[in-house]
Amino acid sequence: MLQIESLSCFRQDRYLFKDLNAKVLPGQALQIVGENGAGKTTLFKILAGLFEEYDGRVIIADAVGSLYLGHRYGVNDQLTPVENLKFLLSLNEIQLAPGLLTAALARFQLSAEFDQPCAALSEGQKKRVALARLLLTSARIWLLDEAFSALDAPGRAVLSEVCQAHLASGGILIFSSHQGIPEFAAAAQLRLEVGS
Amino acid sequence: MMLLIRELKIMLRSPAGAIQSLMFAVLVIALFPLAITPDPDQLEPLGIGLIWVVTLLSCLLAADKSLASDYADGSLEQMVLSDYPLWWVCLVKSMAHWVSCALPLLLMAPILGGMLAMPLDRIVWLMASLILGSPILSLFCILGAMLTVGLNQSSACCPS
Repeated sequence: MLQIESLSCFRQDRYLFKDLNAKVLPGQALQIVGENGAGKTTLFKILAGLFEEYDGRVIIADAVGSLYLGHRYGVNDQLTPVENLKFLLSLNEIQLAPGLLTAALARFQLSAEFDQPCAALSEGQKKRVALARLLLTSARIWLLDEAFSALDAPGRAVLSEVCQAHLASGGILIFSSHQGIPEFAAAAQLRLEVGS
Repeated sequence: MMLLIRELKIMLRSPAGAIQSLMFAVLVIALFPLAITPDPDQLEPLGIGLIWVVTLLSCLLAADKSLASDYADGSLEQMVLSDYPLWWVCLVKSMAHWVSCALPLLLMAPILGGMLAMPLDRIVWLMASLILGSPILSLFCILGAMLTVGLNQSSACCPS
């Protein structure tokens, strides 16, 4: 369970957001909605534990582990997709056979590019490398900031399938997106206003 | 361990940074005999000090680069969120910085010393002092880079 209690963040002489309350139970998704500059990314960083200047409380029940993928998702240009994925997973002490890594990349339609450094990949393909991590992680809370952007339609379809499987297995999904994601139209929403 | 392997791999695939800081050091040392005097008697007492100053400067110049790309692509955020303790991340960064910047200089030290007319026994002492001192320089440089990486347009050399 993830709970936000009267969360406020004061930045650059104004409240970015004030008195946010939300509760997400296992198996539920929460969509963060708001215009550009409303504080979505800051909220994600607070939930991930990267940003600590806030009032209020973030309660994460049980030590379930969370995985944060932001606008910058940690794919290095000099490394190949497999090396990147291996490194990103090793950050949470997950060691996997190479076969599983290539299978995860193949799920995100990255098979021909395994042996090239990621500099040769397009922005959307790099994002897929980072997203392939979702298939192999043990984290139960997924914090996906704009994960659906820069992906083409098949990529979005794979990602929403993966997210649905995560929810079905009792995971928690918190995401933001400017495009409507039909699969998650029913998800609870947390709305952030600009300049409150 | 994965962290260290990754750093070394990235370094080997883009050696430009390491070559740059080495070239900087060699150029500066090569200019001294030209700019001041080629007289060995006057150059020789300056040698150790000059090489140390050049080592410090090239380490500082390289420090920003060792974090900048990880900051830009978000790897640094992921490392902060990882299960690794932060001191280990910093230590690995410092080690990689040392290998890419101080180690080539250390290996070049006999040639640099020769350019400044240093006798062999002083070159040996110079290398011994570099072996002891340069890892500490790397730690300090990474400290500076860590503090300034989030600020736009600033560097460990010149924070603003």
